[in-house]
Amino acid sequence: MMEPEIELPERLRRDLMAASAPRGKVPAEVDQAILSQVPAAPPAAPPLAAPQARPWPTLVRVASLTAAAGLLLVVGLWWRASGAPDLQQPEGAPHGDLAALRTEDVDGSGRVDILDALALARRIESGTESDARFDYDRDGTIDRRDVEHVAREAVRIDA
Amino acid sequence: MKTLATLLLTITVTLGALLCAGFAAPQSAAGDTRFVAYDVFVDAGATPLAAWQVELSDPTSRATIVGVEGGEHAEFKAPPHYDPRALSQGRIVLAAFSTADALPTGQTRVARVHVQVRGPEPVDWQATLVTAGGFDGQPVDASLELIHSR
Repeated sequence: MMEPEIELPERLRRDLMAASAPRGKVPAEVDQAILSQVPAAPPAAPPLAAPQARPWPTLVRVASLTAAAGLLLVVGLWWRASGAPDLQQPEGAPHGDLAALRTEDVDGSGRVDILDALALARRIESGTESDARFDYDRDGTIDRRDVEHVAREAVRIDA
Repeated sequence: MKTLATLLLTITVTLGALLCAGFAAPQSAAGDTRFVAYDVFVDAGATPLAAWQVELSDPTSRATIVGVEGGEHAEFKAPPHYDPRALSQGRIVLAAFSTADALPTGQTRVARVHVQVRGPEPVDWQATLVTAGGFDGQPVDASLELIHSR
């Protein structure tokens, strides 16, 4: 769509042309004066050191060793939590025949059986038991739950 | 045409026989499976029984333990301790104790074991009295008997 051409008065047209004409050149003195007002630039930063080759092989070795150590630790903890003494028990043994080393052998008979639970229950009832070894659940008190732990150990079967 | 009909008839009869055999076999196996119970008795004579522990196992693997009940005396009425892994197996260790003053003497039923048996009875249980204890927690002489519950 074409816009209609507007006929301007001659004087107005001249004034508009004069206003849109390029200005005169800025004198060099003005440029210098303006530049002199600009604060000095900070010293240039030293050039960055050339990037060294990243020690990936060392990192990989350290990471591998750390991962292996962590894996061994996890396996060890799992082994212990899942009843490592089982390995010491002969096949078919109903309970710990080599239990002298186990703290569940409360009466010191050399194996873990229900008499250990009974012995611990009696000591608790009489208020004479304060040996922290028998605080199996680590709750700070030796109570019925610790007796239950010994009973469970007594009847535990090897899977 | 006659040969083809004979062949189809033969195939149909054979398939039918195979299907019948396939359905009949599981029914036969299920028919040999029963649920029975065994009572566990411990007798410590005149000594009051404060603790007992027995082990039961079926070397033929025909018995699967499916449940455990307590005994008859008030102090052993609750189900005894056992490893839950024993359920669905043919071997279990049962044990219970009491610190009460009133304890059973003589032969007393301390537990009842429910079993699923495959094949003929009786099950040849290997029953072992691991230990029995008196009021003072010391081991006492005792005997174990496993009786089919009626």
